[in-house]
Amino acid sequence: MDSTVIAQMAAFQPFLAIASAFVLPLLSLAVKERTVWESFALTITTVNFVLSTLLTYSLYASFTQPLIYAFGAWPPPVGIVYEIDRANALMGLLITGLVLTATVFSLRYTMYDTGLQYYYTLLLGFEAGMLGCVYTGDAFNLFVMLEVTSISAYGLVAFRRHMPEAVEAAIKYALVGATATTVYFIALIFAYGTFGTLNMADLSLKLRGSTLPVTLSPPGNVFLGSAIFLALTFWTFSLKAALAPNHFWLPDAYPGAPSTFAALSSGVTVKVALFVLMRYLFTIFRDAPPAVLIVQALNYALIALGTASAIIGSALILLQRDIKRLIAYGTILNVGYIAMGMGLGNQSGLTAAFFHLVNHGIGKSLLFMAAGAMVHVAGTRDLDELAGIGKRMPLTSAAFLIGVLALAGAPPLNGFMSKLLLFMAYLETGWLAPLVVVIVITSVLALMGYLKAFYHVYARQPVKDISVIKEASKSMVAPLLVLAALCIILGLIAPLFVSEVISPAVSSLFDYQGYASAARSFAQAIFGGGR
Amino acid sequence: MMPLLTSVLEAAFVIVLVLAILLIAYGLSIRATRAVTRSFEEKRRPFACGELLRPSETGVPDASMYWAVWRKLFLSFYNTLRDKLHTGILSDWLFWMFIFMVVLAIAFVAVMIGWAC
Repeated sequence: MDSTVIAQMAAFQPFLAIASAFVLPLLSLAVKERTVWESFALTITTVNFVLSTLLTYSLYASFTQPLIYAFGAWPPPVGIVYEIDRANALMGLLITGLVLTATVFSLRYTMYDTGLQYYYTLLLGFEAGMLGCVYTGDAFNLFVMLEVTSISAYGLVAFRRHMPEAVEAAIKYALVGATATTVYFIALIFAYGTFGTLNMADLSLKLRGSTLPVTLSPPGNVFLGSAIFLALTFWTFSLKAALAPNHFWLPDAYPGAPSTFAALSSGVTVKVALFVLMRYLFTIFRDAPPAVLIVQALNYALIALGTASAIIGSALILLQRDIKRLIAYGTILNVGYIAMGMGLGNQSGLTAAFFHLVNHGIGKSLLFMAAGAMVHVAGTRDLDELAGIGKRMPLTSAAFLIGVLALAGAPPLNGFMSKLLLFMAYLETGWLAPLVVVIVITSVLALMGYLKAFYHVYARQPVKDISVIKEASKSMVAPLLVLAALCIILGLIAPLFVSEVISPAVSSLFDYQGYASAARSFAQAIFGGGR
Repeated sequence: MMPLLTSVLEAAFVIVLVLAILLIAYGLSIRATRAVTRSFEEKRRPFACGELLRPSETGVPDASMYWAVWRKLFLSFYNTLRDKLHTGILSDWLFWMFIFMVVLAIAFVAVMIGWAC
């Protein structure tokens, strides 16, 4: 397929999702049938998943260089561009796949809710924002898409607004999130003042004494500007990724929110924030002479904060009685692992981090949706009150157990494989090798915490009459089984998956020359010039 | 790296196989125990002041006892972690987030001084 068509395929996805998010409330004025709204959302998320699959397959099979899509045919750095390589194509596939499973799960999960047209509107807006965040090649467009994601997320947290805790969580999340995006906006001011551009490829070229056509040399102090920009950006995305000590919002935001939002936020949004950090640290600023020291300092910060996150997450997972809160602390723990892998700043560390990012995205979505199915039928999130209901829901329990074992790192499931890669990456480092002790101890604590949840819902004697509880409906169980199967398959084919899918994605993240030259060739074809 | 991963994969299969066998053996032993104890079910019913209690109401669940020991062991750590950090109060969170930003700023000043030298 032609590269232009493939690039258009990428640009069409966020456009389709956001346009549908605007169309759905209008449609709901004309058609009052909830099945129509559900079918509409399901169709859009399916189309996006198919497009994303085609895009990822094409990039892996046919293209080695990133593809460029220029909005309005304005080339970089004048217009906004999407720049798609294997790394963000894979992220796009993860996003659309998990949004599709969440949409299927929502069909029966939201059966007692009202205002479903707004739920699906927010869900589609959420998908559009996340896809925009990973595909964009423009730092300011990233800010806009981050806002699209965030606003949809605040709405989804507060969707069950009859629950006071949901409203409180949404207000807190919105205040903290708005602080983060404002800080990123300030970072962009410094970047623009320093470099005179916000195109990511142009930023990477200017850091290395080159430019895209049309723009001039950086007008500001590149070292100072890079330091301030990276510090503020790091703070923003460490908050969005729930990296300690910016993790407080996460355990409060999830319990009151629909489980589908918790699954998507934990499975994807947090990962998108980590991916953006990867893009800045390892594609744009890595090895650029003015930023070497700064990136090195941030890598150490990632290791330190990742370790702190792993310790805090694993310690607090043991105390929780709310099943969704317990799983939420597991997210903080695993974000810590991913940050620790990123902090190594080499191929093996980033491969482990990226593989764990994918595995945790799948496993955590599975756990939240399985817990959501149990909460949906039992009407409580308290582990004591959920006692024994797992036996009444064998398929959901089986999926929950696979998710628990995958995230706790039991062989041969996917979580074990990525933790093993992380373990090996740390053993290779020499002086940082003692940190494997943290990985092992926190994994054991996580296993204890997750098994506690499983023990409560499956093995404990019921404390109330649960004879009326039945297995969740097929449309809720099917996504769980698909995700559980993925946990097993990705574990079994881990060596192949790492060498054929993860490593090429990581290589494209490290390839700043390819990233910059794709944009430069595109711009030179129209403007000529550039250095 | 790949041969090691393959070895780990093989080891993992063995572990899963052994676990499956143990699980089946455990399941069979439970069935056997049930068959033996069924006739004594009446004797095992708990009573309190003449009231029949459900097993779940007769005491603290074993899991809760286990976690109580854990919490007691790390009481001071959890007190700090929960009562000082994870209070659920927005202004407390913002305090720690602000501290983080200040630490980042100090670190970058240090990097810049190192660069200037």
